[in-house]
Amino acid sequence: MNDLEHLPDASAPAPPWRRALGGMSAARTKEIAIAGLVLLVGAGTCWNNPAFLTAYNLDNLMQRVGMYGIFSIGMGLVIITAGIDLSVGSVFALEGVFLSIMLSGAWPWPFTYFVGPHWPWPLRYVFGHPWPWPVACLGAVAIPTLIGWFHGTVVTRIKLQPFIVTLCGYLFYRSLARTLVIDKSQEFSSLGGQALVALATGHTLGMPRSFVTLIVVAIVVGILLHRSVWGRYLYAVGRNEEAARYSGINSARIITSAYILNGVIVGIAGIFIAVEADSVSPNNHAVGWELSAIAAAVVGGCSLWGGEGSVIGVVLGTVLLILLRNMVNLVGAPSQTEGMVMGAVIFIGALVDQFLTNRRKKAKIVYADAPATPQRGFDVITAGDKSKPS
Amino acid sequence: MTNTAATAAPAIEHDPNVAVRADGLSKSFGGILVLKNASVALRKGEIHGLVGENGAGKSTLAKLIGGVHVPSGGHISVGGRVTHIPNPAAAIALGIALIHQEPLTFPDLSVAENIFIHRQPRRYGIVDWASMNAQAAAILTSLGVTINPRQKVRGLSIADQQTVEMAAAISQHAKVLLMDETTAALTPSEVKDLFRVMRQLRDQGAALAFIGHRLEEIFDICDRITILRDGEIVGHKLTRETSIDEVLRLMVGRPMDAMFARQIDHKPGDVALEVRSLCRAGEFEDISFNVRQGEIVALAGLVGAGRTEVARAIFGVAPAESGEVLIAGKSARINGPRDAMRLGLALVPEDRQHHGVLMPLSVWRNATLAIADRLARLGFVRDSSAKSQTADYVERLQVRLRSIGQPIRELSGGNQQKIVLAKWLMTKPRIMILDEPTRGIDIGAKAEVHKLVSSLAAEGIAVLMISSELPEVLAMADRVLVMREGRLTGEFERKDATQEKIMAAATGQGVAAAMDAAHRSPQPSGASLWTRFRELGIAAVVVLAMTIASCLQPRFLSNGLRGVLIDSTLIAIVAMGQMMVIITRNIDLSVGSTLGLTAIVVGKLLLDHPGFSPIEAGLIAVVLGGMLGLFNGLLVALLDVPSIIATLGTYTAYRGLTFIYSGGKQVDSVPRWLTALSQVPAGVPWIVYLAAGVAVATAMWLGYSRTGRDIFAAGSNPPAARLRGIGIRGILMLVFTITGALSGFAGLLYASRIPYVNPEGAGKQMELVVISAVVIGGTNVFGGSGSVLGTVLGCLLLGIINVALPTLGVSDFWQLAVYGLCILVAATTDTFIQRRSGLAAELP
Repeated sequence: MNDLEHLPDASAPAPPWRRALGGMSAARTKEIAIAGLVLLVGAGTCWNNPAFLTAYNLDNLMQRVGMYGIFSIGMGLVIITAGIDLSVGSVFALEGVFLSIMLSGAWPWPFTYFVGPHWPWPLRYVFGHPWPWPVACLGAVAIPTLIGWFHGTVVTRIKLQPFIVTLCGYLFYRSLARTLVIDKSQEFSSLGGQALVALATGHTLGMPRSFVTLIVVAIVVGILLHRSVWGRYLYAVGRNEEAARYSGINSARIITSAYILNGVIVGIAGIFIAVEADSVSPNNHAVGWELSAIAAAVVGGCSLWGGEGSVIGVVLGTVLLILLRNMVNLVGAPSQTEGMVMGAVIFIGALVDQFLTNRRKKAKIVYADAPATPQRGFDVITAGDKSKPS
Repeated sequence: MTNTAATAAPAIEHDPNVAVRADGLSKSFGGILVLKNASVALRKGEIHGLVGENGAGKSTLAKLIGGVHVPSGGHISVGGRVTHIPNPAAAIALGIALIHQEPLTFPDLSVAENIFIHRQPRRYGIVDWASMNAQAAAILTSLGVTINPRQKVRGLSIADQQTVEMAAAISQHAKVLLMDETTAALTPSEVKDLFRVMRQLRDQGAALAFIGHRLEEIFDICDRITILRDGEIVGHKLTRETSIDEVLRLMVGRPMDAMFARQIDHKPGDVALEVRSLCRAGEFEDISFNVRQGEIVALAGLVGAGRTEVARAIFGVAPAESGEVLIAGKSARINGPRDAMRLGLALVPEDRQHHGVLMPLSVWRNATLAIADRLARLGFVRDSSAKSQTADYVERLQVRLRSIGQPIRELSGGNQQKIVLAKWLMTKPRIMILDEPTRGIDIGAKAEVHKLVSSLAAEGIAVLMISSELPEVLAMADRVLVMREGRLTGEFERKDATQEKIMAAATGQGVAAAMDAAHRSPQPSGASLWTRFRELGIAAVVVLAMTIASCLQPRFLSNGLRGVLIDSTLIAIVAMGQMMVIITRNIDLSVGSTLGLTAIVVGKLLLDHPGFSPIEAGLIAVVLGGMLGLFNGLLVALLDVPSIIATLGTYTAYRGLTFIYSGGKQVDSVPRWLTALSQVPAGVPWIVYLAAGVAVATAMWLGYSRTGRDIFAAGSNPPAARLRGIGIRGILMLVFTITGALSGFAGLLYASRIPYVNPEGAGKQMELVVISAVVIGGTNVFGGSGSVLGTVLGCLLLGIINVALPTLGVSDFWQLAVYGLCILVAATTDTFIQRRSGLAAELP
């Protein structure tokens, strides 16, 4: 109980490499590193295949960056709270299905099966007739938001690990989606969603709408994270939940709100994703996409132990991943190797993160009482109490 | 592996009765000298007490001898030879064991295993449980305790766990035992039992050192007493030649002029804070006092007296269960720190590092954390005003730093504490609770903090100061309250207080401790019952599911069951590996991709070279899978990549490799002998026998080999495992390699079920099913426990669900959802039970 034992052995100025960076924070360093990588990959692809620079390709890239970037930002928020969300892909499926139901006015199958032709009033109000696309979109966004609230509540009140909760979500929501439409693919253009399709796949100011939305979302979330009290509290809670509590922060509310916000963001992205695919097959829609978000966030500087990360980093991480995928395509390799490339990027991102953390730990003089050694692997997902030394 | 390096110095003149001698030991942390020139001799057949106030250095001395720390000066001689003890394992090799207040045991393993882990007795190469249990029973009997060696440690009380630790030390032939504050958490009857054990050991010739605070205990058990004060030894006495009073005087006597002298020229105002009959089971009882404006009330006592708990209760971090808190005369409902802050309370916590500051954050962010919302306009922070306020306080408190933007961890302890004070001063509190405000701070900074606190009182703030340093208490306080074991045992006005009186009240001269029955009851041993119950439970569920299924479809038992078995086998084989990974607190998301990759590689190999025999093909599959798994192990064990990330990467990478290798084409024809594995010779396909074989082999290995048991230990309590010499890195690499090998083997068998191997579909989403089976089967997601039988039953259950759902008319859409529900139910009940049996709180 003698906490003197954790004190640094001496007091000295920062190591030279840190001073050289002008006292820049680790976050800035990572952002610059990724930006550099992005430029490198871009230049490399361009040099290899000039088709990279065609308007078509760039437009396609921007559209994809927009689509993936939006929900990667949401994942970043959850990861900052030291949580994780494995259910994103399945939520997209559920949302896509719901959107198609609202747009087309179809009856979800289970109700027909169980309730018969005579529907109770509330259900008759919601289902069975097509809604104008703004309302349908609102309804669609509401689904992931509610799911986010549910996840946040279970994690903070029942204290189940986010990994387990969202794993169950991953399994459950897709099944729900498949049931609602008896596993039939939903097509938006034929179901009366033409206006929405035109809107979501169109262009503003010469850029794809999804990209523009990404910029808007990034700005809003960026302001929230970096300039608002809520953002300060979020980082504090992710860093050290106990210390945050001692300073008067309501950590349960902050964490739940992060999950809810993630839900809203996922909802927005989900509309673009559903419409871009045009046909939502509940079994296959967005399978595994949560991994892209996790990869982008981790590469972009979010630490799985929480308390670290920036919006710019996540966006850059998304850009990097999309560029790498594009490179794979343009080089002519089969599309499945994209997965390999993503895997490699994840490794490198984690290793670099590890390297930076270890450098900080090894620099005894300055960083001797750095946060406790993180537990290994699964522990990160199961035990959220990082504040106790191991 | 242990290291003992005997230095070159020749053996000095050695009294054979002395087991361990410390000469001139000193130790400094962070530039602060906590032990100077300490010399003590621990003799065989003697119990040697080390006493002193908090921070006197006795615990440090024990830790130096026990190998936890390395001395900054002086040396230690063991058996007459000067020895260097670099780590606890080296100490154990020398026969020195340190018994901690919070025992380092493996909650998921039995008592006997805790004693013998990594050194279990063996017969014909396998762990001899009978012999181990018998030997454990013998040791426990020799210590005079009745603990069932087969019982899981989780259910044991702290006292019993300490005994288990002692038994482990004895089994390692420890001749020197250092007991570091081991009685602090024990009831009087448990202390009696412990003392009986200690006396037994002493009579057997061991040398014991006993660190404690309760002087009556010291005088009861110790033959010799060494008193420390301010890091130095101030007296060696034989117990029979001294008295409690003399020891007390030696403990506290020191010149007083070194401390800051407080000028009190104001009278305290109205009562600002009053607490009445605060109670919290297990922590404190019937606490009533008040603090007036402008008054400094010190709360003195020993570590563990419950003072911090009272502070946390008042501030709302862990509210009291009964009693009242009144702020300015009005009853207050404080459910959390937010409420407390709103009422003008502030708490500077005892654990600065973990509760007071957020280390990586900058100084100004830390300083303004509590008032971030007050500084903000419309929810947006105004960094400029935050920084300027910080700068103000930095100047006012004379904090020494480079810039307010530097990370707070770069500041010295004293300056960090000043920032913490600044943080709370910014909230303009009316009542401040300071918990050990000058701990870990050098003298100069201490004086400054005292001056500051004094001026705060002069401004009218009510100050409740918890402190274990008597000079500080006497210099600062208007009134001194003393707590001991959760109760108030003394109150003194400034003019009446003396160090001896306070110390007497703190160590309980003349005060009975009535806390015992209330809180020291042993934890329920429900946890060990639960494991048994868990396996039975899931077996029951499986039987139930089969019954329901066969009722609905009469041919289920004949046709459906075969399908179930075949489906389950692949899952079961891989699940054995995944279970081991989860036991070590990791996860492997790449098993499906590994299966797919090996399936393609082996499939193609067999297609191109049909001459391969089954054995050769099997070998290739296992070796390939093992290498893929080893890669995971390297990432996790050597490069410290979190396993979820590492296996996420390999999940995608291996899937990509599969595609590249196959060129996108599926492998169409598969040798007859392979498909024959799924044929039915006499009702049960070969593949089932193979899977059963793997399961049995796993169970044998995990249950009867040292390495297998080490896996459980590594997951149950990694620091304790390291202490016992278990190589965690090696275990992790082994476990991941095995999982890869099993996935590879399953990849070979995959081809037997379907006569072609599809590079995209092979093993897709399998990792989820496998994890589901393992979790449902009762393997603890926190690590440390799991059973082969449970996992197999989990696989069976999932297989039945898989086959039975269509029979029940439920569409296969819900198959995965039902898996998800099962996981949720399993995880929730496990978490619930764990919390009930106190597991979650014990996790490192």
